[in-house]
This record gives sequence, structure tokens and C-alpha cells, in this order.
Amino acid sequence: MKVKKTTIAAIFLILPGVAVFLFFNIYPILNSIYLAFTDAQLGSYPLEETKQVAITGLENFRWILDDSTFRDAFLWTWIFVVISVTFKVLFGLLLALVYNSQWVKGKTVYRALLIIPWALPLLFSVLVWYLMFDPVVGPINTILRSVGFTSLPKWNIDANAGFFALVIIETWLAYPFMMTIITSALQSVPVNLIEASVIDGANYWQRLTRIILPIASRPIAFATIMTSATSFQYFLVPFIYNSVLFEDRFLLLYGYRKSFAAAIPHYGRAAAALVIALIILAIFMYVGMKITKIQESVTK
Amino acid sequence: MKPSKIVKITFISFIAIIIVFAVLFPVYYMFQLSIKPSGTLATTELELIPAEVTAENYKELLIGHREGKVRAEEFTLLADEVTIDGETKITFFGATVLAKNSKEFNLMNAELLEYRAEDVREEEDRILLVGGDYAKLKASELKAKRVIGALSIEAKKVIVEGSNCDIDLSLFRETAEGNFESENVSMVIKNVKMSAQNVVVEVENFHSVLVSKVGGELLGYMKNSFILAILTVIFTLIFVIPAAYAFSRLKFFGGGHILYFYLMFTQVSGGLGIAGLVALYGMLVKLNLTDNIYILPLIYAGASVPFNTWLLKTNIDSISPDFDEAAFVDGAGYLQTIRYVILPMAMPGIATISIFAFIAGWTELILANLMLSEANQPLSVWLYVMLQNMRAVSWNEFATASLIFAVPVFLMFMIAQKYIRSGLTLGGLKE
Repeated sequence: MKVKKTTIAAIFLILPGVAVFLFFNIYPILNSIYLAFTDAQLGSYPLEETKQVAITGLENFRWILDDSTFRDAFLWTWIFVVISVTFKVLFGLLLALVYNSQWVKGKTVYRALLIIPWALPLLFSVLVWYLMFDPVVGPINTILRSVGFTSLPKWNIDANAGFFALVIIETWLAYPFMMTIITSALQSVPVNLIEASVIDGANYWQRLTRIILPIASRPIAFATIMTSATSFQYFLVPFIYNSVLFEDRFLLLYGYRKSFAAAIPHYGRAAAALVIALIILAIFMYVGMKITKIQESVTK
Repeated sequence: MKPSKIVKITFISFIAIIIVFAVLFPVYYMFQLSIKPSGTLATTELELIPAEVTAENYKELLIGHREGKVRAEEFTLLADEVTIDGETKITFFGATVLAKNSKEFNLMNAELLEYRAEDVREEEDRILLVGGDYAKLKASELKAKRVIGALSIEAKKVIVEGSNCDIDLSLFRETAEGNFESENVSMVIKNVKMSAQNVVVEVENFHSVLVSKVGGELLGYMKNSFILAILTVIFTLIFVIPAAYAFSRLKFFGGGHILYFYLMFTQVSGGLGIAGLVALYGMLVKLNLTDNIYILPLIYAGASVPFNTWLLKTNIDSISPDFDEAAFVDGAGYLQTIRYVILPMAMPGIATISIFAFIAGWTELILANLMLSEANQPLSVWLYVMLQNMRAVSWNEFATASLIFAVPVFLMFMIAQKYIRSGLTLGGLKE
């Protein structure tokens, strides 16, 4: 069989990147999946000091599903997805509508300013919000106190208040993305359609719900799926904010702490938890793929 | 324009401005903290515009200062200003002081001018003299740690605030209720605490003199961050440029599939990264590559190969293939074509992936935190470690360090913004 010359050249050109990507990204993921079916823990993994890693089948999954912390983390991750996505979409939509309104002067300046959270490193943003939410001297509680609240939430050590803080942080982090996509969707609505509806006597709310949103719905749905995947993969923010407090609230954080922050790291169980997360991510990936296909066929 | 229209525009624009301010307030708050003097926090009220602005936090973190510690029984000093604190505050200007029965005092921004000592221990950023005949130091501020037995002071001018002291005030003018002033005085004061500004100190037969550098620790962490970021850029360019060229120009079996997989991968890479972390950690331990600052950039570059390849491929697509066909006709190989034809023309795309790679290397936290020992830690890990100990950290310095961490990323992102937006609807990317 004769292989085409361009194919050989292409293989050599893409090989360095593919090799490193496979070695440091794909291989560890596959290896993690393998570990999920073993009893890898301190002593046997990473270095086989006292005993060898043995395959234990579905034992880890059984243990994980029996663990109430895991079940909490699983449930709360979905609660977070629902709440945070609602906030993100509504806030993004609100900002897009306000800064797309004909009544606002200087729109481009505001839009440029509102992109700022996107341009900041995530670590910085979380540090900023950590100080904002400080229960004693942070501005948020200072404002609440001045408005007249007496029992102020302890944002950094109370799990429920902290959870709400994370929703706000995620909304803040993601609105530039949502706003940008929704703005361009709104701008794609034909002007003559809106003018026609004005002539027909439609008010703002009718125009928005009957004409603008239905036309812009597809990009918004696309952005919603994307941002749901982001919410589901929420890890870095709770990790920085308070990793102990949110161990039973976020799936990935649970997996991380089982392997790197436990007294006796049990890598097998951690991997099992992460594999469950992987399966859900694969579903997201599949849905994302379908949506992107639709998206492409729409734009073409 | 109708008046009702003007009212509506003003009102809605006003709301728009308020929203921008509210949303961006956290960033402003951080900036405001960084320019306030260290140790000042609004505990009860929010200060919108800081009353006192200083660059001290930046200076302290980036440069630091020298601190001196002197143990001696006796010292003489020349100072612009000497303050005796107690129930009555006495301030001397242009003073010469001889202090006896002292124990220890601290110097800010100290500089060792002269010394005669036998036991000199010099290290990097630190000099310690143990026992000696003579030493002369300059400092911006001096503070006695304990009560000093006896002070003989000669001064050009003195101000006494309060009258509850042993000083004979008959020769003083009373300038205000309980305030006294006099010129060219000389007096002896016993058992007091003192501090002084802009001083030259001389000590004889001292126990010890120590001058050491304090602060300025940020530079070391910045250096590590910089190494990680620059290496990530270099590796990324090596991996991505040839691959992007191949995906753009060469039609080969499976090319489209790999590219599609790359695109999908970028959307879930965060979660997959954490899932792979367990095995990646094990792998690095087995290969004995933990605490290796040169291997992490390779991993960072590898992780962003999909996104960057996609981005650069799109950029190369926009260059007409006529140029590289011309090069082929002239007998150039693939690598030569990339080097001499594609590289110069794809500069915007290459600059963009370089910026992304730099940001990735500069900001990565999880792996660096897990793998690196303190000497190799970058700025991101240092900030994370500081956060775990917020009650013991100066918020002003913390905010300053965070800003120093964030500003380069912010500027780079702003430069690359155009490309991020254009790639946005394709990749659905964030961060």
C-alpha cells in the first residue's frame, strides 16, 4: 500500500504536538480510568512501597456511591449548575439588553469596560471576591451592616452562604461571555422586523418576547449549554475560595481532595469519583457537538 | 428632540453607568487597597476615594528595605527629629543625643557606614557584627525597643505637649494651652522611650549590629512565574506552528477528525484535567519529575495544544495558499515554507497563541501548587498560600501582590481580545 507523501509530511508536522498532548493529557486520563478499578492508595501508589496495586473491579464505585459526602457533592453540583446557569443567563441577557438599548449613550465604552472580568486571571478574581466577602471587614458585609442587617452571613466559613457567594462569583466571571454572545445575537435580529412590529403597535415587552428572543434563541441556547459545562466543571473557584468547606458540594473538588488532601490518600476512589464526572462531561461534549453542528449549519 | 426623550435617555444611561460601577467595584476595591498605607482597612465604613495614597506597598514587595538591629549600652545620635513618648510628648528638632543604659534599638532603611569589629558574618542580603569597637549607621527611622536609662539631649528647638513631666518649663514659651516651645536647649531626661527620624547613629563597644534586607520577596516568585510562562510559550510555538500548518494546508486522512476532537476537547478540558490529575501526579512521581520547574511548561503547552492549534489553523487558513505554492515551485521543503512564508504572514495568530501560552504558564495554580517546593513556587502559588492565612497578612500588600500578578495578564488579554471574540462562537470558549 502506498501512503501519500502529504500524509507522511502531515504526520511529522503534527506529531510533536500530538505526542505531548497524548502523553501528558490523554494518557493520564485513561490511566485515571484504570485506577478507578484498582485499590491504589498511599503505600501502593504512585510508588509501590508496601504492596502492589490490585484490580478490585467495581469496588471503588460501590464505596463512592455509598459515601454520603459523594452523594451530597453530586447533588449539590447539579444544584449549582441550575442556579448559577440561571443567574448567568439572566444577568448576561439583562446586560446585553441594557447595553444594546437605543436609549443608552456610549454603549461601546460600557461594553469594553464590562469585558474586564474576562481579562483578569481567575485566581485574581477569586482573591478579589474573597476580600469582598470577608465577614468582618469586607465591603459586602459593610454595606449590609450599614443598610441595617444585624446577623451578617459568614461567607467564608458557612457552607450555604459560601455556596451563594460562589454563585455570585461565577455569575461575575461568566457574564462577559454570555453578554458578548447574546449581544451579537440581538444585533443579528433584522431591524425592519423590529420597525414593523413598532408600526403594528407592539410594546417593548411584546417585541422582546415575541420577536427578538425567538430569533436570538439559538445562540443563547448554545451559550447556555457551554456555560452549563463550565458550571459542572466548577473546581478552581471553590478550591481557591475554601477547599475544605466545599468538599461535599462540588464533584471535582471531592475527587481532588480524596487524593491530595485526605489523611490517607485513596487514589482509586478519587479516580472513581472523577470517572463519574467524566461520563457526565462526555455527555456534555456530545450535546455540545450536536449543538455546534446545528450552529455551523445555521451560520453557513 | 422631545423633552420626554431626553429624560428617558438620561435616566437609562444613568442606570447603565451605575451598573458598570457596581459590577466593576470589586476590581476597584482591590486597586484602592493596594495604594493605601499598609495596615489600613475600612472596618466600619467604605472609603470610595482613599484619604492617603502611597506606593509603599509596591516598593515593599518589589524592592523591600533594609532593617537594622543594634544592641549596645550607649549610643550617640544626630537626628532631624527626636520624639519622647509618654504622658507628655516631647519633640526635639536638630538634636544631638547621648543615650546611656539602653539595650536595643531598631533602624528602618538602615545603612552601615563604618565599622570596626572582629567577628563579621556576611551573607547574601545580611550582615551581622558580633561585638565590636565602633559602628556608624544611617537610617530613616530609629526606635528604642525598651526604656532608656538616661538621655542627654541638645537641640535647636523643642516642643512640649503637656506639662506632666520633670522638665523645668519656666524658660519655655507657652504657645497654646499646655503647649510649650523653646530654642537651643540642652537637658537630661531619664527612663523614657524614644524614637527618631533621619538619624546617624554611632555606637562604641556594642554587643551586636545586624543589618538585613526585609521584603522584596515578590521578585523571586515573579522570576519563577516568568520562567514557567516563557518556557510555555516556547514549547507551544514548537508544537503548534507545524501542526497548524499541516491542518490548514495538507489534506490527509483523519485530519478533520483530529481537529474536531481538539475543538470538542477544549470545552471540557478543565474537568478532564482534574480527572487526569491523579494519574498525572503518579506519573511524575514515578518518573522522578516532581519539583521540576522545567517539566511543568511542557505539560501546560501540551494541554493547550488543541485550542492553540485550532486558533492558528484558522489564522493560516486566511493566508492565500498561492504564497506557499510559489515557495514549493522554487524547491522549498515544508519546514522552509513554514519558516520563510507562513511564519512572517501568520504573525498576528502566532502573537495571539504566544499570549495565551504566556497567560497559561503565568497563572496555572493546581499543578504548580501540587508539585513545586517553596524555592520553585510561582506567584500564583504564593498568593494561594497567603490566602490561607489572611488574618496574618497585610491586606494592602496582598492586594498589591494580586495586582502585580494580574496586570500583565490583563494587558495581554486586551491585546489578544479581537481574536478571542472571533474564535468565540466556534469554540465556545471561556478562560
